[in-house]
Amino acid sequence: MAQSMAAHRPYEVAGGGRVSLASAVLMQEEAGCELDWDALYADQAPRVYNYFRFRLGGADVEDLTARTFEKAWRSRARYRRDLAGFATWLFKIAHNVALDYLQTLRSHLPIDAAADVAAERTPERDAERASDLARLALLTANLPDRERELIALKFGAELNNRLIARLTGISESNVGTILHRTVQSLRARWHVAAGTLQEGPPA
Amino acid sequence: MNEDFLHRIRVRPPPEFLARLKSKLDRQPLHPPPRLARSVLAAVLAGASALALAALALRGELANLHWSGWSGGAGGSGTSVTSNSASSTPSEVLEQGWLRNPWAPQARQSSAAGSRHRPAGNGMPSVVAIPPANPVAPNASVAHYNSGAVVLAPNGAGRLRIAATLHDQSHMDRTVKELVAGGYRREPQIVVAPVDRVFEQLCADDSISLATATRRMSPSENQRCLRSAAGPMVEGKLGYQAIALVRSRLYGALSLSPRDIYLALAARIPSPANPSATIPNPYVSWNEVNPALPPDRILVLGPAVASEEGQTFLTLFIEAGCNTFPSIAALQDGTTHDELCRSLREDGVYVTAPPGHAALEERLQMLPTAVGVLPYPALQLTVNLEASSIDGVRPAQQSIEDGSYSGSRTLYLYVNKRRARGMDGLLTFLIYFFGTPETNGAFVPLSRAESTDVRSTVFSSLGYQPP
Repeated sequence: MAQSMAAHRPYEVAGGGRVSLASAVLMQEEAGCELDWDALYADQAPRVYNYFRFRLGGADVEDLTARTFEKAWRSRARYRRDLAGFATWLFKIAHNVALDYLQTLRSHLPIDAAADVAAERTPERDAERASDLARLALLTANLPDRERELIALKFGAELNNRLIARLTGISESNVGTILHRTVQSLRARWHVAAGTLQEGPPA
Repeated sequence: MNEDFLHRIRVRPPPEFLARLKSKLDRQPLHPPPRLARSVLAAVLAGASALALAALALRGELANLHWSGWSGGAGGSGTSVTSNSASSTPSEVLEQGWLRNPWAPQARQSSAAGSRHRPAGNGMPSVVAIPPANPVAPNASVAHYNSGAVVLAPNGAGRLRIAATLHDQSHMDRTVKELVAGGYRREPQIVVAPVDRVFEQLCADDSISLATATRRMSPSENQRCLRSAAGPMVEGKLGYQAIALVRSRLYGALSLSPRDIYLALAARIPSPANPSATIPNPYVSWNEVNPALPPDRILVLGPAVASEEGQTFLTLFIEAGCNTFPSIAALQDGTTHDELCRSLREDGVYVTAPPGHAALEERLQMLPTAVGVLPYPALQLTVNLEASSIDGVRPAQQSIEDGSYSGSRTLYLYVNKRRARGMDGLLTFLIYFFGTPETNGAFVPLSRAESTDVRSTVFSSLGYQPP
């Protein structure tokens, strides 16, 4: 997939060889080198953007992404490489932004309301509701916060289990187990959920 | 474990959002954290000072002290530069006397009256008036921005007037909005004009300060500038616009020409029996337009015609194909020419596509013989679509840059050197213009190195010190 390829585009390293950006950052951090903030932005912005899409569905994802980076950029001089990896640090900020957002929501739509919204029929809403993202929101609405967070970090932000474990405080093996169980459950209900949403009319 | 259904949900953020956010982030300076030793020393000194003051107070001498160092009086600058605010707007930035924008000129000595030298905060360079220095020799690297936008000279002292074609109007609007929001007092005026008219006005006299154009100035137009009061122009390349015509990989791409596209989609076309007359477009399938094409029904999904991308599509493909007919290309009447070359069929052959490349990709997979009109940058985000060649050339970064792909064009900027010398507002406008990201989906930016080189050369050619 183009997005995965972009996230793992190779970087030349001194002495030859090519590594992914994530590894290059790790190597820079370990070597005490100054971080390439532009490259980090290019690599992390899509992850943060998709993290919010997976985590919060219909929220203003651009606004939340912007807030995350603004907070991070203000504090980047204080980023302590010895305390946490950059991605961990950034997604801690993103997680807090998500929590702030959830706290400001005045009402929480129960799962049944997702179908009720279908009553407002416009072509745009039909297409939106038929989208995979809407389907995911429908299926994850009743999941515990922990599972929703793991799905967003794994498939939205495309973080590996080790980073997710560092972020959430759950052991790496437990992260894998929870994700496996949650994905199985989602997959089993994926096509059932399609019938709950209105499909857009074909051309 | 099959997780494709989740991976599929990921999308690429809109490029314009990423560029806009990056631009905002770049304005935030990096302030190093205070070193621990320095912090400790500062704390110790503060504590000692507090103890000393307390001791003096006990001795009854506090009332005779002047806290000038704390009140920002005679000894201090009195200016608190809170430059690291997340909510810094361009106006706050300008007010604090520095610009995070890397294109801001460096502080320098100026003997010119009206210098706006401001006290620098935190070591950042100040914005100063343009010195009356000898301009750097011309030959700025050329970035062609063919949007037909013209910045007219102000009436009276320092007011900019800008003209733009539809292709660049929104970019100019946003630049002006940012400028005004940043505290710029004399709002530039925007005037919309076709690109030919833009060059006419630019070279007629020295009333125009800046123009953006969707083609390069011709030698004769340049001569007109040099002979008139307008004088020499600085030319810079701004980027490209490119559009691809795509189909589902299931049926593969077509090999098209602008003439094919025009004959397939124009509302009226030259009569095959009598090319000097026009008829309502009768074609139903591609092989009727060109026997070398397959017998698929003509169906094209594209942007709304009135949109910037729609207008770009009309210019690059429909109008280009229309002008392959000499009798139409020779038309003097612009209205008739536009009616023939910029009007599409309304019989369902051209349909407004659903918004977003993902929706278009999905729709084209359901209609594998249909053709989609897609901005070139969005093509990179698709996996199931194939781009058609136009005149034998497929869209790619190289073919766009070298101009061999005829579904693209280069965009240019022109700045009047004589106007630049006496107008601080023009410098500010240029800084904002370069800092306001282009949101036309068909815009293909220059490489970072080339962009840096262009901006640096434009600024230096105008007598501004480049960053």
